[in-house]
Amino acid sequence: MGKQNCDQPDRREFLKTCGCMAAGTATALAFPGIISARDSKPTIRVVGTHVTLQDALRQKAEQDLGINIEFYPGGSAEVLLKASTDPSSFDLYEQWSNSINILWQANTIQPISINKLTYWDEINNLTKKGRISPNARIGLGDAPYKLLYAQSDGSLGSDQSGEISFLPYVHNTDSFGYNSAVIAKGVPYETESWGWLLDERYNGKVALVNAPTIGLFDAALATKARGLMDFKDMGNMTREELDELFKIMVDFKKRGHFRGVWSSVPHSVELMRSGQVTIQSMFSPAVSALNGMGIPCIYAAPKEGYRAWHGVMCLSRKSRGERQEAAYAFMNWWLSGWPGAFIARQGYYISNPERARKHMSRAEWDYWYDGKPASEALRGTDGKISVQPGEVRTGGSYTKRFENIAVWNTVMDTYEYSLLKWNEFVLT
Amino acid sequence: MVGGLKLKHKIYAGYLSVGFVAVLIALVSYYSFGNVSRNFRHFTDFSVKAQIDFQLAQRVSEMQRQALIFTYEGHDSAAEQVHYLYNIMTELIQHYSGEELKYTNIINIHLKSYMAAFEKLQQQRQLQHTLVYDDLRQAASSTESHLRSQIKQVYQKNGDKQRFEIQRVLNNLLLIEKNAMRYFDSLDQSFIVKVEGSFSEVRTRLRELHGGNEQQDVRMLITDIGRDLDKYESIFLEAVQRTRGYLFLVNVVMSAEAYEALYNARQMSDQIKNKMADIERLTLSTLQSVSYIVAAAIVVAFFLIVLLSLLIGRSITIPIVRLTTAFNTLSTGSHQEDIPAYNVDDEIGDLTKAASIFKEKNRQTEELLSQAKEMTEELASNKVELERSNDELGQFVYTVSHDLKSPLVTSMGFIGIIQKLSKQGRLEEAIGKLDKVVKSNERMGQLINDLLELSRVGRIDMDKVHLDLNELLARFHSAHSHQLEEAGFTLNIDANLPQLYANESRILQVFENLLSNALKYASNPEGSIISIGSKEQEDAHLIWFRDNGRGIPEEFQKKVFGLFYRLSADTEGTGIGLAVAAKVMKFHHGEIWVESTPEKGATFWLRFNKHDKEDIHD
Repeated sequence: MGKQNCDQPDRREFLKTCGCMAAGTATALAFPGIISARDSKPTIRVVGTHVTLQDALRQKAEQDLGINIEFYPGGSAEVLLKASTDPSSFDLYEQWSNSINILWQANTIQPISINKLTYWDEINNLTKKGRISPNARIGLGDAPYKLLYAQSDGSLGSDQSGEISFLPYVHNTDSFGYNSAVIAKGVPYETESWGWLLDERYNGKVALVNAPTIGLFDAALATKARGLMDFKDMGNMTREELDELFKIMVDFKKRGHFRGVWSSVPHSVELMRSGQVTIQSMFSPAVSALNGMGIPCIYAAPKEGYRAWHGVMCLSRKSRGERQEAAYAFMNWWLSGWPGAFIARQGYYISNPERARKHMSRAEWDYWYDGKPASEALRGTDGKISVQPGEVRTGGSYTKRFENIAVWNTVMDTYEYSLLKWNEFVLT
Repeated sequence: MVGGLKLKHKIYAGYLSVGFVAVLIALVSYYSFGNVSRNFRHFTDFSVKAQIDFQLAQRVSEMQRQALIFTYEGHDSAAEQVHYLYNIMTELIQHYSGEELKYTNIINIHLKSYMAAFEKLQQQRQLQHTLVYDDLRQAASSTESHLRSQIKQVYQKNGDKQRFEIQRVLNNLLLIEKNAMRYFDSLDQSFIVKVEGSFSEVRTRLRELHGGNEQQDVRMLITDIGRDLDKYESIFLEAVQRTRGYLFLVNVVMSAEAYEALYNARQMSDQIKNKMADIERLTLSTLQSVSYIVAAAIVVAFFLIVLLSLLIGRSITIPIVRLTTAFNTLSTGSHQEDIPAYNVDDEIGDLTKAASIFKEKNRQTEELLSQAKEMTEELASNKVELERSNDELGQFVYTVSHDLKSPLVTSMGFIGIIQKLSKQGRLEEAIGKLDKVVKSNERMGQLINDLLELSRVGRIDMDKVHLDLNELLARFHSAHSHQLEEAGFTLNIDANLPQLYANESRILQVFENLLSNALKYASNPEGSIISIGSKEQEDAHLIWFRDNGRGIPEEFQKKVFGLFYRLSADTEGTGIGLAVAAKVMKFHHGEIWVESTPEKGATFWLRFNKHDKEDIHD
């Protein structure tokens, strides 16, 4: 299953370790699908997920930069373990901001010099200051800006410095999706609520993403929305809060409320397609896939706000010399506009959108970033029409979405404990 | 429905129909028992599957439990148990087929993913174990050894202050190991923070020691300790990540795979239970349906038997009853009874034919009886006729003898006279009397000739042909025209006279006798007229012969047809002509009679039957 999912570069593959995870010592790890071309040009190795490790991007980057690039796509946990234990196995690591603490703590990545980032000044305030606009909510948990700058004491913080822990680039908001053929369509930001995940009416037809650093927040947002419990800091729950949260969740599970958890985007698609689930945690590619199948899946805009994630590109501590320079070139290329426009067509945002805008049509920009109805049919990166004229992206514009962030995907201090509780929840 | 069948076929059909229904009931029963048996086998199969399914679910749970034991306790036996359970489950899955394959394939995929993750977990845990219990301790010992070595040197060369600082570093190193081990025991991240804090503390103090120490060998030793410390920290951090890695595997990846396997096993179990319930319902339904069908078939069979019995019975008894009635009637000799129609070639058909034959025989018998009766009546009639003929013959003999005797007496009288005259010599006078004798003899001869002619009628020259009466009478008129003219008679013959089937000479004889009779007795001073004509009746031709003479008194109108009867003794003739005519008409099965009013002529009627053909010849 995992291997199969690994072969789908346009889907956001999460948490798939089973089929794709390499085993053994770090030096013995061997990835099944190396996309490479070796010659005298510098070669960089990029470890990450299928969200950004797409061959079209690699080819374009190689063409533009004149370097060799090897992609090592894998499941989130798999690549995180690799990156956190073997810095010599990669030059760049592309994953989520919630992995930064682990990597920084594991001391496998090195600070990135801002001076070497060509488009640093264009990066918007979402990553730099935590708010995309003055009225925006920062969001609980590890908002990327809190982990962006390398501090003088070796820690990560929001105080500006000359070095950063990651290059901000791809990001998006997540919520839950529901089948409007079964559940009455709600009003975005008004009636749509994370509390729906615990609505008794949907008993047996609910699923969560199988990731404690993600699904845990969906559960927490749902319990809070229904007034079942509150958190001192949802972004960093205590063991007691986890106990209470999982007591509630296990109770729901015992009553058959949850169909289960899903471990990949295709799995989540199948759950809703087959009718096993009518509402669940979702990623945007799954929603698009279901709509393409004719299933009216709505990607909710919860009134409590989104669960956001931010892609990060980290530089291996072992990357030096020519490879390091090539890695910087690749980071700068990512912010050069074309890649931002490319991933915009897949529903993702880039940290310097204005540069990407130059590579997008007016209609594309209006739909993907401004939340306006599509004035014409829009094609995805595969060349097929993915948006019909008149269609409106749920959640509105880029700004509106990121003004409503409830929590960021976060590896909490109670991460290990949450794993144990998660196991209890899953197997109940 | 069965009317067209032979009797034995009806009986066969009845038995066959009942037999067919019986076989049908047997087949339905066989089919239903087959179904029930098949359902029972399915039910048994599903029971086995359900049992396997239960074992499967149990083993998945046990497998995850053993995996957790291995994860947290590191017992190799638990890991072996996981592999053992996986192999058992893989074998269990082989027992499924059909629709369950959909689930077993999914379960198999999840179990394989589970085992792949578990194998990685084993590797990660082994690596972590090595890092924690070998590398980490070795690094801790190495670092501590270097530190103690430094303490020894510092203790020998420097004052208590540095020695105290080094001792504090040593304490921090011990704290690192202690907190590190506490993290791996408790998985509480706060210990990582403490470990990291201790590393930071150690480095800070070492930097201070390094900066404040001018001895080259001590500085080198501190640098070595710094390297040891980096390695120590690196081992710790990797061990942390490996720990997190296998914790993620067992708590997130494997638990999800196990849950999916369990979920699908439960779905399969539900499906199996549903199928078992379906089979149970189907079996009960089948049994109920079969009960209904068999009951219905028995009722149908009963009614069929009754219906067939009625139909066959009626189809047999009704014709037999009808035939019985017919035979009863036929036994009375009747042939008027209609034989009931029965067109089937069977025993009743044979009886029906026999009845028809019986009826025909009755008819023939009756006809024979009728003929016998007719013959008896005819015999009686003939007897009367014979008696009458005998009387007539007696009369005839008397008449003939009387009338023949008369000329003979006359002749004998004249012969006596002649003899007397001769004796008296009165020869001339006697010769004169000879004429009288001759005449008397001639008359007797005439009488005898006429009697001969009379006797010939019916015996000689009596062949009948189709006669055109117009032609015959035309010739008759022509032949007697001179005689009529001499007698002063006019003969008128009507046209369009009928054709007759008769003997031409005898019919001509009748008309000649009637003409002779008219010429003798029917002269009319005002002009004698004879007319012949005809009149048609439904079954006869009536020919009339009419004169305008004096007529015949009523009392003589029958007598004139008697033998030797003459209306006047003065007229010539023997008195046999009309008797001959009557006999000719009788021979032709006809009649002759006369109607007459005195002085107004007489009309002789000749009646010929229209149907008197050849058969009358007898």
